[in-house]
Amino acid sequence: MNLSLKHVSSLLLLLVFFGCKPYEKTLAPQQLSGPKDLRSLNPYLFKPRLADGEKVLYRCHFDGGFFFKKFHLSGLLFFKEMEDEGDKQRVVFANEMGLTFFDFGWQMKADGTDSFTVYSILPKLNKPAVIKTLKKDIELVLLRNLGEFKLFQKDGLEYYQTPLEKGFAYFVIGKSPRELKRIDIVGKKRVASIYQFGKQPENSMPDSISIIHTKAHFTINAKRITDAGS
Amino acid sequence: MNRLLFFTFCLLFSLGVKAQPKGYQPIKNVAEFQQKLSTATASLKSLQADFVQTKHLALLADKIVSKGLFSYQKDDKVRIEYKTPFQYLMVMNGGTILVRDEQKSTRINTRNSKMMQSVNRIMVDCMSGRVFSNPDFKVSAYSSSSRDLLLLRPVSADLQRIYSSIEVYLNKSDMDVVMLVLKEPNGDYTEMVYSGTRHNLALNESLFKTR
Repeated sequence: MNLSLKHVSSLLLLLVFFGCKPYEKTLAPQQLSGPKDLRSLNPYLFKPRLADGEKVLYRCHFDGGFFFKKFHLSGLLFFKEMEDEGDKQRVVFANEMGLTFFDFGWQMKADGTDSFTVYSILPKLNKPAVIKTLKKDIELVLLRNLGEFKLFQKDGLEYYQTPLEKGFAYFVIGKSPRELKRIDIVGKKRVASIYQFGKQPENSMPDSISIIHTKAHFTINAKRITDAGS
Repeated sequence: MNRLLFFTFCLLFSLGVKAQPKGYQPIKNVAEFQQKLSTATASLKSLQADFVQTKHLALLADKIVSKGLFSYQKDDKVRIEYKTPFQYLMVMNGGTILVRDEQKSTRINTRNSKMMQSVNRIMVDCMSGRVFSNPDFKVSAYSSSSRDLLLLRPVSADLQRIYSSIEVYLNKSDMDVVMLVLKEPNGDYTEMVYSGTRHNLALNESLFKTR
């Protein structure tokens, strides 16, 4: 009995030790080889390519909060590749009754970087932290406004690290078959993960998106739908 | 001086024309119109209609279409049920709103939310003919050959940030609401077009349950 208790406490200590290990320390750095053009690296193979004027609509649910202060919000998330405006995408979230919560836009500039515009946002949501979080989540799904990548490896998976304003994002990619497993957002440890399902082909918008913010205690689930007018 | 007066007149005239919806003339005798609206809605006990909602995204030159069923029961019960392309239910009954989507039901006490109270009241007021008594909006009435139009402009700054105006289109013959247009300050607007309106049906009370 004493022995098993000893084992359990040792195991707990090990768990605590490894649990506290910074995310990056668990990964083995690799040399990026192959093409010099960063945009042909593995993560960019998963960048959604929408045709001119193409739109994608999602049914979206937000859940969050601590203990008794919980909230649930639903609506429609709308992605559109703008017509004849170069590489420009707009993302709008509206509630079921049509009220626009936010309308964001990204446009690729001549130097290859992206400009970001808040076209409109409800006064209650118009807070720097809210905009920053939404912007970052959407940019990771759309692979926009990202910096350079470093490659790491773990358990047969490739981890492509790119810096964020705070911390890093890791695109976790399976090699065979080639598959975007998830995107981890990491500070000292993992603070959020983005899962995308049904990316067929791999450079399309996914059938569903799940964003789990473990630190900020909220999740976003979006499922692709076709509107009643289509 | 005369030129200045002429310029001012032209400016005021052009602003006046802009404020007036196209194809509509201001109703001169508003009191008479209110009376007509009250008389038409006095006999209305319940109503059910199909609706098509189109959200127009101004800057994107695109739209999102959804469809559903609208129900009203006198005095203050409204049920808006979206059926496609998503399931979403909103029931307004007195001071409580029930919201149900594919995942969750939420009850909201409108007494705690001035905004929800205002939006809730528009729906009920449209059906009960009490639009003119809503203190949250400045109401103007217009008329065309086939329809009457109530133009609601929010009074409070909070509501103005959400809606620039709300247009309620009424059938001239029976004073049924045929279309609701909710306009946002960013230029987006949402149209709700009602069709197949059925009056005074025996609607089951359970449709309006918020518990």
